[in-house]
Amino acid sequence: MAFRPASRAMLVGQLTNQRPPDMIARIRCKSREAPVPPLVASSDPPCIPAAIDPEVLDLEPMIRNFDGLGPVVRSLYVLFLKDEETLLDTLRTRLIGGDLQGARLTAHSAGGAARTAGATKVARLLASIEDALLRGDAEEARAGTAALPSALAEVRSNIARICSIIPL
Amino acid sequence: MAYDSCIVLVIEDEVVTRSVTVRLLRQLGVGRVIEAADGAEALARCDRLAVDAIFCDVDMTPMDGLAFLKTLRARVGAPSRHAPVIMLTKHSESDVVHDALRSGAAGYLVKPLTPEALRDKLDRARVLPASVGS
Repeated sequence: MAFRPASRAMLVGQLTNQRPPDMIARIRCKSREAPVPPLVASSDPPCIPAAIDPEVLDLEPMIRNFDGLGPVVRSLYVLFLKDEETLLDTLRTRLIGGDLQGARLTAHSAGGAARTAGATKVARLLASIEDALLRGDAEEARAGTAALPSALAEVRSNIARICSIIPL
Repeated sequence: MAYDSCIVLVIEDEVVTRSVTVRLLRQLGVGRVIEAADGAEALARCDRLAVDAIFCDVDMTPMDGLAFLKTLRARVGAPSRHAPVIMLTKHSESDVVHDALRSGAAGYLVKPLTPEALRDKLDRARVLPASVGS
């Protein structure tokens, strides 16, 4: 029986097929030492990526920009949650007070932060509010803020799960 | 291209995006990254220091990116008067971006930012004349 030398493409294909899912999770978590929960677990807290809905929190930009989920990403997520709470409070206050230009700028900032953090749904809600304020439609903007607390709570919950597996 | 001797100023009023931009620039090896939360704070820094490049958000308050750029270019004696300014924006087609390019901005980047895009702009900023429009 004759043997053919393995090509690079064959080897890559074999490795990709053989790579266990928890290895992918470990790579994405950038933590080879820390224990990593399985991708899909029945009783353990769920890990990336199966349990995180990119519609709520898209991890890809942070993973790509910072080469995995490490302490830098953790600190940025913590900063985002703290900042976003403040911005949403300011947005509500400005809308109640009739300061539509101030509210638009706040919605713009909060939306930018959400996009940067990968908080997809929150970013989309804030973009709608900003658009409504650009059109001068304060009623639609006020109505749009109603969905923000639950959307941000979902993000917070997902970030908490991610932070629990990121090494300090 | 090495950036270890570079001084880069990041002007962005939104703290998360500013922090990400600063960290990405440090990750690229930029020697010194300075932050400012709005145009007025940035001008004070540009009056004291010669920076090699400026990344500036368009939509800020109280002084927005375009006002910052125009004021900087008119600032006789400011060490960073002719530093290349790259505008950071949500929409590439906004009128403000076109105004900024006409007013001497070296380019623009659409957010969210990536290390590759920042590196590209840094490289271009270092080979371009300091200001096209000044």
